[in-house]
Amino acid sequence: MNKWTKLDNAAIVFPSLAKAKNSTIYRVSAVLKETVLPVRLQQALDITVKRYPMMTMRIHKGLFWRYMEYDDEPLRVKREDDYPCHPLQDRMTMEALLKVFYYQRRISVEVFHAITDGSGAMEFLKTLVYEYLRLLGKAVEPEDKIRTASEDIHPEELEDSFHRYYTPGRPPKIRNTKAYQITGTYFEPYGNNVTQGVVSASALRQIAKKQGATLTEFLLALLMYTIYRQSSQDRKDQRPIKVSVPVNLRQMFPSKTLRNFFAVALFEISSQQEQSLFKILCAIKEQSVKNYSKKVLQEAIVRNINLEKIKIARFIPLPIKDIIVKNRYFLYNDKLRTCTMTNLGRVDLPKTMTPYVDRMEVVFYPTANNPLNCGLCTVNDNMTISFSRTIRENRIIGEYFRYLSQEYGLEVKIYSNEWGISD
Amino acid sequence: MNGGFQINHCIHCQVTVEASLQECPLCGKKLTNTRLSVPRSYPAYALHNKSSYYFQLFWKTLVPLMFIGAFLIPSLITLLTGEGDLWLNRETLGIASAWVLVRYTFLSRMHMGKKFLLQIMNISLALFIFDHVGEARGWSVNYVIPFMLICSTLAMMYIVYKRKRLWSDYAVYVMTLIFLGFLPSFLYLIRVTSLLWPSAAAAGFAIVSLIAVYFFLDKNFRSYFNRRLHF
Repeated sequence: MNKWTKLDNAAIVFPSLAKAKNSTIYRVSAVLKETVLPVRLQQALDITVKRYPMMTMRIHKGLFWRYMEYDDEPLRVKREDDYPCHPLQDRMTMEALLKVFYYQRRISVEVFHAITDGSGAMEFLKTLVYEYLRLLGKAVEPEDKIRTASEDIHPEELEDSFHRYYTPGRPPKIRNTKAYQITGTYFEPYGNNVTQGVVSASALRQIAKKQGATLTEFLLALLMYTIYRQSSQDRKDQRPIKVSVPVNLRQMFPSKTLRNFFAVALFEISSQQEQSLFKILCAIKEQSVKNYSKKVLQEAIVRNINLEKIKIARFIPLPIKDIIVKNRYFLYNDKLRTCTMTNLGRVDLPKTMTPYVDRMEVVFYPTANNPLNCGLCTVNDNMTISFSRTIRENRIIGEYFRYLSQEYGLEVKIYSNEWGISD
Repeated sequence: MNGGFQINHCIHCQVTVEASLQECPLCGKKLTNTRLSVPRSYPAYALHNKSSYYFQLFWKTLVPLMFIGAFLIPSLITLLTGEGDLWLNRETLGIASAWVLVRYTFLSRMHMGKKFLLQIMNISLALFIFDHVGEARGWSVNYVIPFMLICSTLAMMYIVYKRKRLWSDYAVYVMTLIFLGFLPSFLYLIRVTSLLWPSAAAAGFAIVSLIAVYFFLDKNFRSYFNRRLHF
């Protein structure tokens, strides 16, 4: 195995963008039915990292590009004592880019986005929980759903799949306009408030099915509707509401890679026209057909790689690249969307593991211009909807969950880390 | 379904809420039947997380502003009007240099190599200005700076030699220090320095260091450049 590797296509930008208000760190968690034992968890982590060596990589600066280097310093599990998706405290060369926390019944994995995407982090978490349960003496079996430490590492797991599926070409340019921005008063001290709701996935699926939509489409429509209701009171900002949804490219382009391999689909509605949940749902269903088509996703891959292949860009020194990327992102790209909703879907756990896992969570980091984001994850019929925000204003989240409970009669169970609420 | 934790109810939102919460996270209304003894889903965050914000604000924003107000502005007025005593410039320089030392050494989380390099530059510049604002005897460039470069290069190479895994982290700073070793000779060529032998010693040490790096760390060295210079 090479001691160093280039960053994958999607990962190139994350180190340039990482800062206190844009940690680019997301969290996937498993909430077990019993309190976590840290000693066993540490043993499980020691076994798991052998299966996922790329997760221990650290990022270094070169003259033109950053690169990743394997690090043999052991990872240590830590009791959770700070808010989720906390930015790196130190430099990327000095600090592990994957961290494992425990608190009560929760095991959390926080990953710097340059290392892997949500799908890769979830694979890591599944193995970690499997090894943990196995060390506790539970009768769990991998059932071909867990990458166990006894398996060999497939070379494809380390590849940059963007390059594998790249076909030279010039896809049409996309001209995006700026989106409606959620604004508010930042928490002081700055931090991430996480408000989570657990609902029955099957009951929610039934509701979505009645409206002829998938579960993701329905929840996305509801999010856009609640944002619309807020934006209609904000007469100054009439820009369209746009929500970005990361798409796991592995579903369309078969790949075993554990590195980043995703594209972003942008859904849009007008904030000037009269909207209803039904109307928004129709618009989303129509946009889904286009956004999730293989042709559009292939074009996204080509567009990304073409940017990397620009000859002049390859010889621009890294500090200048950083300035360009930062300015482009914070002044333009980050303002092209109102917020992000990421859905890791139904996590496929082995049947022998499900009795020990209550639910799973995904927390997506808020950014400088998108102070509110949403993550979805389902296991054992428990769907956890996790909102993370860095502003005091809470109306969108409140209205979202109240809509589910009052309009559809769903039992919604709410919990929160109360950052910025209780001192 | 209770998700494994004990619950309370918010009548306003019509949702169930974790039993230990005192307010509904959605509407902020006070909840009755709160049970504080029930474990929470998240830890109570330590006070230091919040107080460190004010600590940082004080040291990184307010203290520099106070220095600017107290020293730089009077100095600037003295310089612009030509009235008053220029003694203040020296004090200002000393305080500014000390502030860089404290701010970027003790209060900064930047890389140790970068701290090292920054402080060498900071001290060299401060000594050079002190020297030239005074009687300009050239002691800073003739003696102090060349020997400081030799000692600091030696110190950093020793650290890297002792802890080999730090090599890739420190390489860029070691190389920068080695090349800075040629600076006194350059200053001699442009007649800023009047004494040759300390400058020549610094340059000689830089050459020896380069050879040492190439021969003793050759494999790592070449691999390091492959990584650093890939495009």
